[in-house]
Amino acid sequence: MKNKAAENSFQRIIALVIREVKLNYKSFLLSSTIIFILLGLGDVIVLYNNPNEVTSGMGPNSLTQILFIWSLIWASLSFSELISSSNKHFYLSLPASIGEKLVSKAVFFLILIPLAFSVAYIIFMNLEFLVLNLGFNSRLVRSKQEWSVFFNSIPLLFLGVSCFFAGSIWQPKYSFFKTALFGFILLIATAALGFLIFRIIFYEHFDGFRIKENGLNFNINMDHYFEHSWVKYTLFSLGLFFCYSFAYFKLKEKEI
Amino acid sequence: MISLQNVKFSYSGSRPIFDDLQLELLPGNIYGLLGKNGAGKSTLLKLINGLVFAKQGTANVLGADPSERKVEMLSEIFFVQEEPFIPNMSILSYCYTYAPFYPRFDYDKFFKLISSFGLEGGNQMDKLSHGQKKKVVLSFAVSTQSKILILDEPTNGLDIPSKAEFRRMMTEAMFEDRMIIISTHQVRDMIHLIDPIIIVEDGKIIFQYSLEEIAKALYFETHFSMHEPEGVIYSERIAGGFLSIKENTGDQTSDPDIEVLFNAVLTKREQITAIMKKTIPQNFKQ
Repeated sequence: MKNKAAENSFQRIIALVIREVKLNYKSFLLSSTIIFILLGLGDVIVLYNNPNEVTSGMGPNSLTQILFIWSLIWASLSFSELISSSNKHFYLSLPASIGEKLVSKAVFFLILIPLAFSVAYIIFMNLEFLVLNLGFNSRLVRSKQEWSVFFNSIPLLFLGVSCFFAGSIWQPKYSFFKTALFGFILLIATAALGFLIFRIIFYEHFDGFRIKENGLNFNINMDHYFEHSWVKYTLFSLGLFFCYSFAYFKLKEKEI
Repeated sequence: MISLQNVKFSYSGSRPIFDDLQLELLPGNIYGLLGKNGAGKSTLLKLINGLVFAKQGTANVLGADPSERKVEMLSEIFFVQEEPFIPNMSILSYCYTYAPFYPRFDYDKFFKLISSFGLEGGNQMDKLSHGQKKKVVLSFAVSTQSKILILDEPTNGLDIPSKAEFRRMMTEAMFEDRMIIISTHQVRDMIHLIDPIIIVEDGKIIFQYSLEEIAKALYFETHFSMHEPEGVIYSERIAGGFLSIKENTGDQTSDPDIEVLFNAVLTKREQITAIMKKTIPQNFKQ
């Protein structure tokens, strides 16, 4: 049997995605199985300790929360092969362009992994409902949470994983912690800078770093701004553009 | 095929490794790249493969700047590292995963080579010994049919029969458009394989000649005597005598001993250079 040579960009991306699947499927299966066992055990303990009460099973809210952390961790591992010298050497020498390598990693780590986990979660959720109800006299009820919570969180999730994806090229070793720390520092610095600018512009309303009594009301309702979809989309697009441009140029300049 | 002109390179924060490096390599040759530890051999190979970027000067590999890492160039180069990347998969899976990136990959040749090394497609790569891993990667490298094959210390970890198998494999792997560059300290493993010889020292190519040119300029002799021979450029003691190099003044023929040559070039560089320059003036660039 012979494989067809990947002669164009699309075929190379497919070949790269297949490569990612082969290299990572065992880790994915192992880690997701551990998570599902822990979730299932949690429900069993709750049902066992409350023999006269009904318990709500796994729902979209816990999926949203777990998926967020799970996807950020996986995204931060996207370029872990840049840590070891021999892996890095091999990956950078692999005949595919920077764009193709980025797209294939993004498809696998930012789309396929969260998607596979979500599907597995839904399957496990239904399986757990069937199995535990057999053992606990139908005391496990389906969660009444809205799935819209999950679907509405997808853009934010995608932006978050994109940041950690770029971070994994910037700092492949301990990428999750370094990116999280950098994000936290950036957030504090931006807030401090914003406050400083605010303080300078509205100096007459301040007494030191405190707002004067009977001064202006500076309470800002951020939700009001995010109600406008254009604000959301602009920030989302700018965030993605920054992450992927940064990732592209960082990967392009990588040396051994 | 490979041209480096006035190349300068240094790792950030360290002294320059290459300063004004000049190198021209042509297809149809198995180049032997020799040098002491830290001379810059591995860095030179990485420059050719686009894994490090020249700070100044021009590098051209297969008509492209290697630092751009174009797909067309990368698919024509295969670099076997001293400690190769070994994924957690079977030999068969390794082949089917990576072969599609090399348009002329020869599957039949790969499986033939694997079986000649006593390995099977179902063997897990990460469970193999160091030597076996190297055999798989070398077999893959040859089967890519890439125009440039770069091998960094390829015989490290190979047992004695495998070294002979390696030499046979490399000889058979040669074709007109292909160039093989072998960087090694194990020069005796490369007997009757590498030609021409390139010696790197202090970030410069200090010697680049074919074996024919070397044999024309220098005469290699074994003296079975306890006294150091006279009138030689360089000699080193062996059991029962000396290995020596002297200028080939007539049309004497000898088989160049690469290890002795390497030591001679490093210790008697000026004398050797002067003789080579006198005998082969057209090649002299330094």
